[in-house]
Amino acid sequence: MKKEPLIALALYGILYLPFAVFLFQGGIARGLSFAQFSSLFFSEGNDIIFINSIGISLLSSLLSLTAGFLVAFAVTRSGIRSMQWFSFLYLLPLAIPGFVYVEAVVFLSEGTGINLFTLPVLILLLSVVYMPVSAIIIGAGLRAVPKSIEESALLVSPKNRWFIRITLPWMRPYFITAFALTFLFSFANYEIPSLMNVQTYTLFIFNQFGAFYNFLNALYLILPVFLLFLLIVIAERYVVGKRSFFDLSMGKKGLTVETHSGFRYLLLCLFIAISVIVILPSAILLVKASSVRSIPEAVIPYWKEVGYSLVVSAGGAVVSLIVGMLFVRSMTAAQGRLRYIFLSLAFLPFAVPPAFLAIGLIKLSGTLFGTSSAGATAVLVWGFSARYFPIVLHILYAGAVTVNPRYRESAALSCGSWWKNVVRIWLPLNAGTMQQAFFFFIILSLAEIGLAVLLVPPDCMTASVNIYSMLHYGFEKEVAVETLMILVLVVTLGFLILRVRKQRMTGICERVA
Amino acid sequence: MKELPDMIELRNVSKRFSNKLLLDSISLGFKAGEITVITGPSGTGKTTLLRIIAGLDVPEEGQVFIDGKRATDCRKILVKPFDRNVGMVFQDFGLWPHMTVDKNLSYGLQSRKTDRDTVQKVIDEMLQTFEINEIRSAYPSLLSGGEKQRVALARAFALRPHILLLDEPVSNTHRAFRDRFTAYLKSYINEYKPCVVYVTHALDEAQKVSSKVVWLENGRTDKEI
Repeated sequence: MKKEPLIALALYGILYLPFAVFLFQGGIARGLSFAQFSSLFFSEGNDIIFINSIGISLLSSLLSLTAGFLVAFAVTRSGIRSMQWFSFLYLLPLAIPGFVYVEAVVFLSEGTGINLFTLPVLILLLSVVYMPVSAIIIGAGLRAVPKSIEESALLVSPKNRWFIRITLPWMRPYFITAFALTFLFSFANYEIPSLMNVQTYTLFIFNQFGAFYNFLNALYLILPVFLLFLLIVIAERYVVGKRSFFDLSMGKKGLTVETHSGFRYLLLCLFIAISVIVILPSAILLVKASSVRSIPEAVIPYWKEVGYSLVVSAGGAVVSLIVGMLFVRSMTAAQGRLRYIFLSLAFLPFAVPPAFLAIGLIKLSGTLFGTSSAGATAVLVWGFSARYFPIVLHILYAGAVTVNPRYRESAALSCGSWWKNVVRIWLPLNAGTMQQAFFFFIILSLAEIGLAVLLVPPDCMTASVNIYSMLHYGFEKEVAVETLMILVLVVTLGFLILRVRKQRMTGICERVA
Repeated sequence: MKELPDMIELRNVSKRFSNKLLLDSISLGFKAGEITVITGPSGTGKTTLLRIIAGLDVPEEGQVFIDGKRATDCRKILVKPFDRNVGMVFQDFGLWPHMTVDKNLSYGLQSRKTDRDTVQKVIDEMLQTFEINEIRSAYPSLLSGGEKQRVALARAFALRPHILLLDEPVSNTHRAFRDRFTAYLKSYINEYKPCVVYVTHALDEAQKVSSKVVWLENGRTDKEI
């Protein structure tokens, strides 16, 4: 095997080493017993919590899938002119950290006197947060349908039958992926159920581990989640094959489907609802923060935490991008069995619950770094990299497969230096997706709580963990100020993504031409 | 007169795609200073054969020797594509979209640590020869199919490679240019003595270019026309 795939595989292995250490050293080597597992899992209603969590995740992922499909359809196929203004709006809920929605719920509950801390609201919040994931994946599918397939169907199908009979069945893998990923994300979400005071299985694992630091028990509790996730990922991998599904481009839109005026109004209502979902929490934060005397005075106490979050997130993004770049280069160049191995490995990290990673990292970091603060920061960077690596990988892969492989081959014939070919040929051609992945990573990791709450060093604090801690004492103006700081940062990064999306669209057109 | 040894030698090369046997134990030799034209119906593995010679693809069975040195052995690349000193024109050109025509031409030369003056001289010569001087600052996306093909040709010839692999090199160009190119190719071979493997669909074009024409069909090279 060549050096590059070997290095990519080695770095991938290091990234998920904590998980493997935890699984093998913490569990398998000590002899897992089914009796101990069943006494823990089936006692005190833990199994019921597990099943409830599956139900919550199923409902929220079904909701996000439906909304995601409507949004993606509206943007790519409805032919409604005003929809171009919404082509970025639907991504915004992803950029708003989950705790911001909870803050809005707290505010509305206090204001109206209605108890909003309920299961339906939790399901709604989870589906709102992960709706853009569905929309991105289904949008990628709607853009990827070969025009020739649709046009040949259009010639022989009455009305929109071609879309229902040809396009939608072709899109099946994208629907399954969207559903699977939103399910995994919803199940693994920690902060929203925690702040909404709804007991979920993920929350239960974190609380159990936080209270007793019992690694073996944690492993027993995580194993069913891991097996469930693994099952979903294997099924998803089976249907998706070599397709890339993380396409953020605004380019090709595909054939327009004739829509009934009533359906058009429904789509418009959906976008109004999304606008409200985006604007309302931000407006509430502004109202809450308006009581501060001066902005600098309010901001200064938190700039260190926000800065620390940004540094850790950027560090994680750089690590993920380096490993991702090597991995994607190897994946796109590999053939036969090796390509299959790379593709399977690209999906596998989705099956690792964040709790698994976090607890594994705690176990490993004690041995590697002791109590050093820098070591703890490195562990946090490691954790973020491992957590969001699969997303980075899929964004990079989606970009890399649009680049004609001849460019790389002709570079290999022209220049013998690996480094030169990467810097002068591969990177410029993939710069758009690299930037997208970088910003996407930062946006997600700035809002990350589940992993950070266990890994954050004692003398430093990420902004999201601090907000999470403060929220337990109520939604005060300090919380609003720090959240707004994060939001401003995230929105700025979001606009940078939009800029890159536009650049990338031009890039793709050039490549295809 | 003593016959020159083969510069490229394929020994029992076989390649499969899915379940189709694309190349079935092909054995061929290509000499320096000679043009060998490979022709045949679509999907018979002509391009794959070129890719195997370039080291961009590996055969399931067989070996490729370049200058008497084993370059590919079954599924193993023993000599990297760059070290084979190959210039190749791809069917879809493979021009780097983020580089202008000038830069597309100079990248390979600069990578071979050619001094700046020589790079400039070679580029000017290629731009003149392939009639692309006016588009030297343009990006590939702005070029027509024929212009792209001429740039791809110029890029391959600029390196003065020992082996030239031309995959349908003039399919998009007009007739007058084709004739000029054939003349240039012959004079180039007289001067630099490269080994040229020329793939084309058109039999008349094949016969104009060289007297050595290999017919590839059903994965075999049964006839030499």
